[in-house]
Amino acid sequence: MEGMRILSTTTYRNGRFTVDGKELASSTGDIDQDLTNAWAAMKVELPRFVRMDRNSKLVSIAAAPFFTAEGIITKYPKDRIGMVIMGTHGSMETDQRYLDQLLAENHASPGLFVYTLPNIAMGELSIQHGLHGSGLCLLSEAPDVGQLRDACEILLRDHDMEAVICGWANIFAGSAVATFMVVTTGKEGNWDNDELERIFNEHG
Amino acid sequence: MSTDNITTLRQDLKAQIISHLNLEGRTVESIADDMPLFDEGLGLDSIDVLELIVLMDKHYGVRIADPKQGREVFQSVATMADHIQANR
Repeated sequence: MEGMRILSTTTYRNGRFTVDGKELASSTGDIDQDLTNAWAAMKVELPRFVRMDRNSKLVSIAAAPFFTAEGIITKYPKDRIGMVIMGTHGSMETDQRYLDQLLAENHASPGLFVYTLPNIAMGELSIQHGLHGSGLCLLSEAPDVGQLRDACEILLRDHDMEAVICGWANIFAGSAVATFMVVTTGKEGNWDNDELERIFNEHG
Repeated sequence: MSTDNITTLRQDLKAQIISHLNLEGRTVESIADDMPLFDEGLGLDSIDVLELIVLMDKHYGVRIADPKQGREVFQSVATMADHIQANR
């Protein structure tokens, strides 16, 4: 297939949120406040954001710049936008909260229960932006650039996706890190394993 | 139940809904008794209904057993309060 191209990159590292290198929010040292501030920086009205679990908030923030009025992905049909999101802990933090609540109160909040799957964050993105494309949620000890490339290539080649939101998102034990990018195809590709390794090493 | 009591129940219910559903930016005063809970009203969704069922059970001791009943009960704070008043 043609080369694969990265169109835009967002990074969130413990409160510091950047879009193509431009800083939109900085860290306060409080993980919840940082997520709130980063979302506020996007100026997107979404009442249910405050009710999401942290993993879904992180994923929503990291993807939000792609969907603004001038966002890079808005020119693609909603059913041709795929997703490949990888992380280590998935919904582990929410799983733990759910278990703690269950043990303490003998029942758990349905609103918490619905977030006890690692791929729910992708569902949130799909609902927010009306996406109908194919997606993969992958768990890995560390960013596996080969697997990410393979997965994106499969979506672009075999599932008729025209663009893929691809990246790493992990939130656990007080640390929140995400690096997302929009990938598509083109004659002049700029995405190989070395470039991906460089992006993930640079941004965590 | 007296008018004062039903008013108090509605106010308490609004506060509980705000707290349980984490309705950031909402106040008791901003929720009218007859405001629809869904869509153009409070904008709640299907997951929120589950939260409201748990809230009514745990806080007011009232259970919703029949889903059809839920559609009538969860129209507004007023209909929820009426159901609580009639069943607890």
